[in-house]
Amino acid sequence: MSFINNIQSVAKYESKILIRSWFFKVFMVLAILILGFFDFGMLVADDGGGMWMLKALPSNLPYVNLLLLNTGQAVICIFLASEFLKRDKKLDTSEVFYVRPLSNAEYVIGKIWGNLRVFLILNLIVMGMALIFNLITSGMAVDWGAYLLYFFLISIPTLVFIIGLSIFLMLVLKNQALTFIILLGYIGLTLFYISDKFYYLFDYMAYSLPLVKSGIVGFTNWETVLNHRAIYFFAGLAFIFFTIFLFRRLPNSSRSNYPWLFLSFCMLLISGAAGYKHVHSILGQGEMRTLYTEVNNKYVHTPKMIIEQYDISLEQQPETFVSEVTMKGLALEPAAVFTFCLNPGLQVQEIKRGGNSLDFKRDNQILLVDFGQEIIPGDTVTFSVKYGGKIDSKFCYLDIPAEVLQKEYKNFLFNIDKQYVFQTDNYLLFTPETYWYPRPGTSYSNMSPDWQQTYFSKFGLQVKPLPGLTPLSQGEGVKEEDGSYSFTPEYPVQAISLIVGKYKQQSLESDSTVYSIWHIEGNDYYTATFDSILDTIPSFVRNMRENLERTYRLSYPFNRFSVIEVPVQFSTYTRAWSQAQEAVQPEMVLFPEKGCVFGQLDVDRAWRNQIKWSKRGGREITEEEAKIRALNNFFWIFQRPEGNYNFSSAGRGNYNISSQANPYFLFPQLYNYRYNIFSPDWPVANAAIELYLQKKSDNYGWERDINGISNNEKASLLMEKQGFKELLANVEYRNLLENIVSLKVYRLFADPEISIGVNAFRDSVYALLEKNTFRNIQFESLLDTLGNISHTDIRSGLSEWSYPTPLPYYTLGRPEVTRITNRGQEVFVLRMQVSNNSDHDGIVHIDIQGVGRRDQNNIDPRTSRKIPLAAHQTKELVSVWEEAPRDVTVNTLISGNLPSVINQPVGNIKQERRQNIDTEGDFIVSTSSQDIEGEIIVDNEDTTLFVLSEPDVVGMLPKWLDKVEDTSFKYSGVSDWRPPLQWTATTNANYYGKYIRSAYVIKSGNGSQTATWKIPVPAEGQYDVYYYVSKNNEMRYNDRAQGEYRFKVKQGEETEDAYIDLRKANEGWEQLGVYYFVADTAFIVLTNECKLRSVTADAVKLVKR
Amino acid sequence: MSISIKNLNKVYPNGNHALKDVNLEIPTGMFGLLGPNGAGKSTLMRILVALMEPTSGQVDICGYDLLKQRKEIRSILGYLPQDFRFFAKYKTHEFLDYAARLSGMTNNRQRKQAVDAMLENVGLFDVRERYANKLSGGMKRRLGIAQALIHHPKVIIVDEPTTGLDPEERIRFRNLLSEVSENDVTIILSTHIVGDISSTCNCMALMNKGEVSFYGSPQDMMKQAEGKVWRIKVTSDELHEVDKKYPVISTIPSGSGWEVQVVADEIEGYEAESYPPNLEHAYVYYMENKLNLWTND
Repeated sequence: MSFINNIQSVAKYESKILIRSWFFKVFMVLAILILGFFDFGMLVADDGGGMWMLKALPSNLPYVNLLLLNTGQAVICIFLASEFLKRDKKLDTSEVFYVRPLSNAEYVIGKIWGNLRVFLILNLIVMGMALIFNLITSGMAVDWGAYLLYFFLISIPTLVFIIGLSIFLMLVLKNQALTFIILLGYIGLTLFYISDKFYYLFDYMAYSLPLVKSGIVGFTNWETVLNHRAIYFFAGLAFIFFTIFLFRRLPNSSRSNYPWLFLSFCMLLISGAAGYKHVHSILGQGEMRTLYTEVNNKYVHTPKMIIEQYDISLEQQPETFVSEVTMKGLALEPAAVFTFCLNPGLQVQEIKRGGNSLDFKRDNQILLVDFGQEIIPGDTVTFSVKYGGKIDSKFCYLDIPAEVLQKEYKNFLFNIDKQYVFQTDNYLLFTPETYWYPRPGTSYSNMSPDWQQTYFSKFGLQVKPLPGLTPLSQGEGVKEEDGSYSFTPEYPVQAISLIVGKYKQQSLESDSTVYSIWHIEGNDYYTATFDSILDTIPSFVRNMRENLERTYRLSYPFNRFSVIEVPVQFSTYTRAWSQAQEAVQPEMVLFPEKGCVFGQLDVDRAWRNQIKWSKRGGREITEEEAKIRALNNFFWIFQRPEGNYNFSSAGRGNYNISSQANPYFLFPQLYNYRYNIFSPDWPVANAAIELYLQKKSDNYGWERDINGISNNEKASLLMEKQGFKELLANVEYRNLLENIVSLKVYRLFADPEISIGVNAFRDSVYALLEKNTFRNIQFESLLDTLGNISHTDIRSGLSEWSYPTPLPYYTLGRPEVTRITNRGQEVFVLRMQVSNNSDHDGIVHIDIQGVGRRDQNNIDPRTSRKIPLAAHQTKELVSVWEEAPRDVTVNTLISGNLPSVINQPVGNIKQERRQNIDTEGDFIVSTSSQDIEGEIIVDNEDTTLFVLSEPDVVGMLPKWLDKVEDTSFKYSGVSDWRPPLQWTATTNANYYGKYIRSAYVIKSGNGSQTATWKIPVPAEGQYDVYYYVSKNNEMRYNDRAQGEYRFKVKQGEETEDAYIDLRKANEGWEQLGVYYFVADTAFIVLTNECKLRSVTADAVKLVKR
Repeated sequence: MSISIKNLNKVYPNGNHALKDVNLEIPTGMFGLLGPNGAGKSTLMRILVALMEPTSGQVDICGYDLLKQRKEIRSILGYLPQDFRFFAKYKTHEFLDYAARLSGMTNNRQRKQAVDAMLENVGLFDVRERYANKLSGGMKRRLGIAQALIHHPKVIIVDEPTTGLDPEERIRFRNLLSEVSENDVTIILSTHIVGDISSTCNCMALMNKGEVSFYGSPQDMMKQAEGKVWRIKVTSDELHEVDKKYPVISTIPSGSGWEVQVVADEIEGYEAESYPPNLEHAYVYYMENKLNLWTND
């Protein structure tokens, strides 16, 4: 008893000191205020940000509160916990407590408990506050258990660990300042640099650990989470016990310290074991994935079947299932033993053919079925497989690199675990990726693309779920008398999925298609909102469908469309060979529970916001209209190709933005689950056609402005160096894969498009696809057919795919328009020259805006067309229009031009009165040099005549902290508002450049950084010196931005200062002054001394007078 | 004997031999430990209260072996360290309550009564709500003795308790200790102020350079100085000479010259008058003659 008493006594008075310290008081008040405002803003305030993730999953409320508090207290704790050792040393009155009969352990534990409990009380206060907000937020459930759970998972291990570590370090280092520095460094390191390594091994404060709890299945990573928290909890205890051992006070008895040393080692051992287990499980996962891939490699060329008909009968059991599948297979090659693939977690009990058992062999996921006799190609066999067990999720996504798999899935501060399969006693989700039933061949092989061959099969599925659960799959679920459900999709599919849960259906029928939302019982939060517009919903659904079908000129082929609510942890990835992700399955979309990751799914708030925003815009809308808008925002999720944007920074001033594919984009429903284009040589065939049909836009717009280079441009530059297959295999370029494939297919189809016109060719592609609905199409024969139609040899273009693509370079003349009037009639003649200055043939795409568009379906094909340009060929493009063309956009497609897309507005329109109107056509003209005599231009791309100063020396720490920049591309994005500290190359149409319109940008400074143009002066005389001025966003959007570029014009010993006032200057060549130069080299030096935020070094021109 | 110390040695890591074969028997009652600064008193005290480990030797406190039974010893001990000025952010009564709790007074009601009584006893009841850091020097000392006494220890060790106190506080303090010593406890009073001991202790030891150079009663000590204390009347010119020649205890102006008290076996060349010694005289005599410490350079 005295043990407890003493600890409590010490703790009581330690707590008093902590509570009385100003530091803690300030922290506590701030923590409560900040979190209070946060909760209020997110949940209650009318005008607040509102956070659906919080409301949809109420467990997120205690999670985010404790997560934020924990990050703060983990830092504050360091300062306060290590204090008591210092205080004991400093305060001479402490000794009188040391001579009391309490033990060292009681004293140290008491001190720590005293600190700890104050923090715990703060945690309780914050949780209490969150709970109050939880209760007063209308329509928000309370997850009571979550409050306790997160308290134990987040706060306790963190506090025990950081308090233990800080007092231990303090005792060893005997220096509080040093202890702080080390610990703060450690925190910074774990938070910003190594947070997600080894599945968050170093994340002691659980800042990045995926801890979002699903309302359907709860935690999906219990073992990992508990194990992870155990690492830090026990490490904390180890430090505490070691502190007791090391504590500088004579123990009560001479040996009483040693048990603590022993205990400390025990705790360290447990912590180490948990750490080892953690790392081992991650590495083990990697090893298993490698093994599975190797096994696939081993069998990828073994004989395969096509399954014409599957009849699956599955019985769900708690945590597992048993199933029997009857397959009718068609042999593709003569063999007795055929290869199938089944999830390695599932055990095969028996394989039968016509009542006789067949021999079979299992090698991990591979199932080799021995039919006992050779099956001849074209022959069919019917056999059944009995199997069951629990799905091994490590088997999923073997094609996805480990770093992508381990990448965190974050929504605001919420870290969500990534799961590909669910199999609990109240929920089950199997997508085709899990191989939950035997499928012919192997799964992913990194050796041969043969594995990818998928075929359409007919399916019949009978499912007996656990009581109270409803199964969902492709086809309509018909409930049988015995409680089982049977599904028979009316169309063949490549693979089917199975979902079982406490589902409730809400549906409507429109145009003989049943549209359903399958939500988990109790998750219907939206019906009340949309009740008043219920009648109009079908028309909006029809609208969305028509919109999609029109945009992609493909029809929705299924009789049903279901949005199925699945646990928030369900994750999918983009594949190299297809844009279809597992979240979209034939006739269904697997949508995160309550749509919690989408703000617009907070429908009640969404429609109110619509009214509010309209009011601000000076327009009143009705409640119905607002609700319709909210509904459309929901529909939009399924229509946009891109999902979220990712911002990243490679050091100050360098920014990158990239968009992720939208996993809920419905395109696969129209294309991937309907057509199947395959090619053993080019597994990307399907994706290539897919991308061609989508006319995916490159990030030429604002994204390009931020990145300094577009993805297509990056792709072009890469294609010059490496062959297509090399690029496809390179994990580093995963994000550029779509761009590479797009460009390749654009190039492949450019000749036929030129031959018969873009639209006619596209029509042919669509027609061919339509003919092959639910059939497998061989890529090569598709190309042959298209070649016949377009009178071109498309297939020979494929041979070029094996080699790097040499890049042509183009120069573009200005578009010139002449208005010709004749007897009251007027026409506009557009002339523009385009030259291919390289040794390689190329193709450019021209879009002329402002003309030829009567309505959406009636567009003059001349407005958008491809123009072939042979090496060193110049063409003059002449076209005649009824209206005045506004501007001309030239997309150089695969080229070395940067930017590769240049938009040129039409300048002054010349007026002419004549009878004869110019002949239309693309005329080959002689390539004239665009250099003007007497003009000397030196651009920043000139490696010999343009020199930049060495970067200023920066400290070791900033250097070390700055991440190593991706150096594969010379150009990067620069921010005009926070410019880079070193000269950074970027490209932009506003810059000067023959092929590459680039410049170097740097943050303004004291003039220590310079850019120098060394201009050879051909003859002595007077010269006009010009500088190429471009105005960035700062000049454009900030009217008050003023500043001048400071130049020094040098020749020999003479130096003259020159200035350009950016506000007064025009964009383009701006005169710097008139100078007399002798025939030598003139130096024009630009310094970074400027009142504007940044200085841009581009090009200088000398013109002899 | 209450405390028995045998062959106690303490050598600091820096080689300083702070205690050299100290042997002492400390009986119940007030025990004075006298010695100049740096004599090893505080080291001995800190060893006795188990704040420091001796290098060698044996200490037995009320039958407990100090090296093995620290817990038992700590539970019968009250200690007031030499420096007792800086407090954590505790109120006066909290500090005392904390000390009481750690001494095993677990009953809340009884402890509260004891704390109040003790605060009353040391005259701090009125300032019980004041933060301990805000107390005056004397009050802090009193709080110090209060915490040392709160749990009625059998052995009380007070290290230089009266340093820096004004005379009134010092007398109060001595009286308080005397009172306590009547309750069959052992109080070890370490001091370099002779007056503290002469007025309270019936047994004492004199320490010097880590060794015990005298052990006995203050009377014994005084006896040794009998007939060795002299009063000399000198002129101003002679004063300097006397000061150099003998250890001077006091110098009082008297008429045209000075009346000087010195300790010496005999006085030569001056008109000297023998004087009954007090403990201070005995201490000076002892330090000068027995230990040949006296230097007037």
